[in-house]
Amino acid sequence: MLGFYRIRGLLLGLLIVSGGAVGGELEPRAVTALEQMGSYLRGLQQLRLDTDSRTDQVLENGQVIEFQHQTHLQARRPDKLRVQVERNGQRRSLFYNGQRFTLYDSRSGYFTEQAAPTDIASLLAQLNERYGIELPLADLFRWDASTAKAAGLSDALWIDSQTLDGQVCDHYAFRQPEIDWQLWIRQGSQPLPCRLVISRRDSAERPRHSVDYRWQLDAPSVDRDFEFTPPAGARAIPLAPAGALP
Amino acid sequence: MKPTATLLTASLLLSLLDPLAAQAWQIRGGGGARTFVVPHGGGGFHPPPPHPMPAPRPIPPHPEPHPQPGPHPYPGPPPHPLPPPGPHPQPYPGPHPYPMPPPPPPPPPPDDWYHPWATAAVIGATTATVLAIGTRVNSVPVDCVSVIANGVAYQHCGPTWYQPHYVGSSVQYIVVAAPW
Repeated sequence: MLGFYRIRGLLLGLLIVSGGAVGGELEPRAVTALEQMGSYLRGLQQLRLDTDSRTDQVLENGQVIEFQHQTHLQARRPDKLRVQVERNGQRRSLFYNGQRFTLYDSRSGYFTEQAAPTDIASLLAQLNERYGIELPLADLFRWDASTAKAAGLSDALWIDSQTLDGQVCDHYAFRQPEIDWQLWIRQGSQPLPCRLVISRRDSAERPRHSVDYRWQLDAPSVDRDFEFTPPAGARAIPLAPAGALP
Repeated sequence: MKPTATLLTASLLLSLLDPLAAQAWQIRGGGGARTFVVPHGGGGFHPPPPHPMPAPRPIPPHPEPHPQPGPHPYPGPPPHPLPPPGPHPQPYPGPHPYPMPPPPPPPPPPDDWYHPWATAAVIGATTATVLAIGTRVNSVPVDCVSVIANGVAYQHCGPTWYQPHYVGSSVQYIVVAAPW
């Protein structure tokens, strides 16, 4: 009889230990913060966002190299969007005016223009499904009550509060399959991302991507911000559907 | 001797003018940072990582038919940021000394907005190379000529014609048959 209790105790202990190791710590406060941020972002009627990012790439010899980019995102519900990613004066852009979307690469001077659906959400879905294109900075906008599970979030912690770029932001740490990530979210009534750092755990070099966000919510956009005017010499080329090319 | 010298000078000048060919480094395919948190596709978890497969790295990257006694350890793009002063020791037949087999291009990662294609893989960086139809590359030599034929944009590079396409959010060049 004594032996049974001992074994049961041992099994329970093992269960707790393994549970602790696998399950991690999901602080409700940290998980809720993500949902509130996503919900707030999705509710914005218009926005302008400039980011500075640093992205590691790994050379053939294993050395980690950092590349810097500036990204500009401008959107107005329901059907206007512009994204520009710039490095070394070379720029890649997406324009969406509610009828058509255009991709333009200043390095090659080539652009492609396609018919587009009637709102931003459908555009993002079409870009992803039909063309395999994922827009930068789009993923945090998607965070809702189901995302933590879908992403496989295993750890979520509040670290502390910090002042970044003049804003008081809460610093959170998250862990999910393949990546560890940290997010700073502005305190108060506008829960906007202040900073994001993603580290890959599935690579020995642990390359990082970090983004500093500068939000302008009250700067209005005009229609022509979302119109693409081909620069002199720009030429139109096709856009291959995802998987169409060998 | 004289024509060879002229060709060598032209080659050196071209490599000076060509910022792409001047880079020796190469990014390991699939090795870069992940730039998104929510898995692509939004709702459901799609486990394929941002970089579906390591970029096929030809080994050696650009095998060269003739042996190279010169100081360049790699037959690929010159390993030095700038061509060394003085004449090239190798007696190359053309202005571009590196005939290469067409290596398959790396697949574009879904988050390639932050991938420095601009300066990375310089595949097919010579107009003298004959590439198989259907070969895809991320950039073409600077001395290619942009041509519109029958309303279609091409890059004409010596014997090779490329048709540029957007593949994902990046421009890729596909070797096609000559339009005329």
